[in-house]
Amino acid sequence: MKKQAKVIDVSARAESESSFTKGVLGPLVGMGLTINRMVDNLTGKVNATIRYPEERRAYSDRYRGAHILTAREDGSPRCVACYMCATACPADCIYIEPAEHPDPLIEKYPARFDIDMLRCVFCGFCVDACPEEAIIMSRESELCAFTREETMWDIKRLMQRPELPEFGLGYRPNQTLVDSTVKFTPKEKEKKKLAGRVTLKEDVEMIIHVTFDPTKD
Amino acid sequence: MPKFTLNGQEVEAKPGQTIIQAAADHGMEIPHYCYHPDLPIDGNCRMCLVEVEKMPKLTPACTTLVNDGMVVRSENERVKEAVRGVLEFLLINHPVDCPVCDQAGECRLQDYYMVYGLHTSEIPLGMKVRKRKVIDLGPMVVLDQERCVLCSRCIRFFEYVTETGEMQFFGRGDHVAIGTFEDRPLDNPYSGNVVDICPVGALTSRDFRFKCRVWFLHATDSVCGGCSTGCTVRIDHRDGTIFRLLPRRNVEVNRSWLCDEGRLSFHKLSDGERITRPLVKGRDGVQAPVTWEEAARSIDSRLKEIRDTNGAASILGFASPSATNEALFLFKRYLDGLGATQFDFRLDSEDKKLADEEDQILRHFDKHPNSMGAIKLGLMSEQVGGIEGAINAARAGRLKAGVVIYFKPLVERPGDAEAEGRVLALLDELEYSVLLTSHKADWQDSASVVLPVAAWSEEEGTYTNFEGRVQLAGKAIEVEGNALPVWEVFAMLLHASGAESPWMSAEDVFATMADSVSVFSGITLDQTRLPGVVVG
Amino acid sequence: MTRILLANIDKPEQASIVKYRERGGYKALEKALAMDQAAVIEEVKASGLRGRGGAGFPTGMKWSFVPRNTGKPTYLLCNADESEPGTFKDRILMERDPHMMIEGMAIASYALNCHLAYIYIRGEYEFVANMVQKALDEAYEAKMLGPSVMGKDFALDIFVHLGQGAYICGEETSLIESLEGDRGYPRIKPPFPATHGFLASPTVVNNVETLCALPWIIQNGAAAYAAIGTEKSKGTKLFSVSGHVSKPGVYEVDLGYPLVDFINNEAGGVPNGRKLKAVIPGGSSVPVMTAAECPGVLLDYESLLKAGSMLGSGGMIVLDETTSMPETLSVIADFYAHESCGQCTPCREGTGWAAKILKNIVAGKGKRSDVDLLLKIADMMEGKTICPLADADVMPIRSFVTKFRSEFEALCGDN
Repeated sequence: MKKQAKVIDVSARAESESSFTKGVLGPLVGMGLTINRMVDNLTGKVNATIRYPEERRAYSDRYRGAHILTAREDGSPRCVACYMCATACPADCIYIEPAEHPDPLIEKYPARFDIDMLRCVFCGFCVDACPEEAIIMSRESELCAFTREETMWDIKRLMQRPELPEFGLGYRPNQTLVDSTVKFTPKEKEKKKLAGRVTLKEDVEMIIHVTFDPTKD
Repeated sequence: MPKFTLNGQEVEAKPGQTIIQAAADHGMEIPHYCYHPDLPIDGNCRMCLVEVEKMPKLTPACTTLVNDGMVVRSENERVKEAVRGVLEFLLINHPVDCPVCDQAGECRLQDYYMVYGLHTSEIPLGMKVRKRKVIDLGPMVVLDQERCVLCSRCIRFFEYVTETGEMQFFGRGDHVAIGTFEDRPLDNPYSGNVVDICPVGALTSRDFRFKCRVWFLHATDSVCGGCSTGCTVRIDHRDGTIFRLLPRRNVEVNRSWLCDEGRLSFHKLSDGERITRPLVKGRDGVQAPVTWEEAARSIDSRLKEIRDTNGAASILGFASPSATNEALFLFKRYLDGLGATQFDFRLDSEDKKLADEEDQILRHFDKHPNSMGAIKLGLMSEQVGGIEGAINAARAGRLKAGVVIYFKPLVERPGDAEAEGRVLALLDELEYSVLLTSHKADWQDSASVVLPVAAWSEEEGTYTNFEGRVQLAGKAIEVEGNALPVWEVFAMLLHASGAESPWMSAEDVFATMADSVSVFSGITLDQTRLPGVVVG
Repeated sequence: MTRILLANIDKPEQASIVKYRERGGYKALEKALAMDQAAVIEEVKASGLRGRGGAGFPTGMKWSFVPRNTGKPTYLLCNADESEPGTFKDRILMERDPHMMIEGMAIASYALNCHLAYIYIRGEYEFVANMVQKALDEAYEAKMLGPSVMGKDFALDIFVHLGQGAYICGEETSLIESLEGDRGYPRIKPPFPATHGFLASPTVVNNVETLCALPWIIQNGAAAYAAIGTEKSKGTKLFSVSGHVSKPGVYEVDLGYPLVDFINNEAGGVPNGRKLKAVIPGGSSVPVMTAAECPGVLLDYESLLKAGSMLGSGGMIVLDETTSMPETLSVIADFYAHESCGQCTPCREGTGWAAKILKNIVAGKGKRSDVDLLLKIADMMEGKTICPLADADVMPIRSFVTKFRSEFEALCGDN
């Protein structure tokens, strides 16, 4: 036998929903909570916001900010232009042009490695896909530019990270397997003579090796 | 016909077949590296071990002949364990440098590892045997000895197919490596094939090196346009660019091979600028771009005018032996409609057969893919007598107008410049000439009308090889600019001339051709796929 | 104890054809040439002679597999590529009594209707090859070889071919490949050499020792030969003893002679008052036997097989209690890794890998898991290759590791 359909009386339901308790008291209770929070905020009991950019939150170690191309000991890119990142990239924002490396043990290196930062969705798939730990992410998120061209980061921009000490490293493999480094030049005027690198192998917290460039004062 | 049981399934084998061949015929792939259907059997990789009832040891499927009543198991635990073991052995000294290896994505080591291996390597990095990498073996091949699984396919190819024997094993034990004597370059005209048959990344293509990762490529089945042999090929392309040509196995034509000239022939297509719009010479004698409709109308009316004043015998149809059957068919149909009788396609005289451009394996002296199609379609008349005859006739005033299709040959040969010069001479001598071509050339100004057409790989169509085998070539990439396939140009001209022109695709033209040309009668497009169909 | 092969080995100038004939040489050939060819094969079959190269396949049966009237010539190849570590019996025979081998070859050739025979001598035995060549020259001069052997209507030419120093060329099919001028790669069987051997013709490959037994068998009759030894292992066998014994050397004993007696009596026992630790009875490729396993074992094909080892080529290596088994195995494994031809994957990669692991263990850098890994590699290699070289590596690895596991583990320490 066919099951009988349940009949809903719409007018009865409307009646019940516009009852005094539900219609008037409910919003008042909610308003009370809001006012409570407002008072707490005004009196400084709780503080939900910070004074950005003077103040900054500590971002997670796994924050997915702008990419970094890591380097070998000699400063050349670790990347071997295998296209794994470009293959994994859902935004199709990585452009690589491989070339023949003179060392047969390296064999292949990227003559061009561009990331279109405006296309990038910062998913971190490229980091997961990389077999060489050549691409990792930083916690750097303030990516502003005046022209479209500036948002296309080339290999040089991806390797030299002036803002690195300010933001630190972001999403990267849990366990670093290969010996790679990140080069940076501090941005601040007073630190101009400093140049250094981060060795990823020892990287628990960011260890910065600072080397002085005697040619600069 | 011996019958045997394979994994519980009763299977029939041809007499003299080995287990691996019989299994392949029934769609069951037994893993292998050294076995290749077109090479003699070697049995060294030990990947194809199977269990045969009443045999104490596992036996290689590639060397064991099928006997009636044999019971073979290739998927039980014992076999899988053995295959996994062999795979582990192959990988212990393998550098696992897939990121830089061009074979990645079509590598048998990767494929079988995903099916049988999935083990953790038990050999520390420092214990691996190191061999030489990036060895230059001539214009086609780069050798990496570390990646080699020593299946000897390349060695057997040079020993039994080209019979030149350039490659051999060196050393012994786990230090065995393949190579040529003193790294001498592989300079025989088939060396590129070893790249295809190498199941791993030991032999990679110099031409394709680092150009593109294979998983980005799209494949289109086609026929090589390099010569009259008509080897079946696969065009690998991406975003409108052809990256490589690979042979498709066709037992009747090229088996699994392709010559180096043919393999590199696609580079000719990107050599030089393309014509993107139809050009018609104005009163001032300068070619100016027009729309296709304008061009078709002007050609049709001008040709009819010449026919009416000088007679139909003054119109020449000079075809290209590189155009498809469909193109040539509509070309003939249009000119037939005008009443033209003078047809030819021969750019060279017969005595131009050069011995070093032909051999007993694949290469044919005729570097055009469809000469036989042109002959079968009746485009060769002794009256004209080749291009030289046509030039003389034009000079003598017997020929006034001509429709000329010309494609640069995809495989270069010494007489090319002269042949091109003859086309120029013909255009010069004709009062009114229509040139259909794909690439710009400085001599095209001589033509009254220049029509941009699709080159090889840019249109679908069939080619007839030297033995009369009709084979289908697919369309891999889009034509540039406003260029059209040749058949479409003539379909348009037929329409302009007021004739029926119902064709929407090359397939339609093929159907009409099969209906109306006796040589092609009764064949269907499906028959022109592997291995193709031979017409009378 | 009957002395068949070594009967005249110590007599002066035995290598010269004059002395050899004085002592009854080439009489057997004369007798054989008077017999029917099939009768010679029957005689050898009846004698129960088995191949002395290692596999122990009945010689007469091997000969009977050779097809007749194929239109192709039949070849006899004498396998003198004696390369098994611990084996040096053929060398003595060829150095001291080469005519016995030549006579044996002539008898075998006659039986097989073969007119062209080769002696494949390992490259390291160049001086032996020179001696054999000298003996061949003498035999030609005395018309024992050539277009008409001993004046009969039978032509035979024998050539010496020097190998290029590969152990694998002692395997019959790779010996054939090497003789043909190719890389010494074993061939896939079937087809067997009996039908498609040297130059795709019927071919018989026999060991030097096997061929040397033939003159005696023909001369004294199959029954006399079959009377020696045990029921299934008939005749005498040469053992080349090396290692920790007082009198290393080549000894001929009846098959079925007790192993312990052989070591203690013939070979003079273990010197310096040390105790016996282990014996490798048949060349380095056979499983090792511990001292405890030796008593009661007889030196014949069946008894040794029952004891878990093999008679092999008779290259006995005796090890006393001071021997380090991991080191010994490392040396053996190194040998097979070096001699693997590299054709089949399991052998090519497995022998090398096992050798490296053993080297690590001996150097004290091994891990405890490596010991099991060795056994795993042995499993992965065994029975998966074209020729038995991988198995020749598997047998010592497996027997050494299982029987002396504690020694391996001790070297690994706590790693």
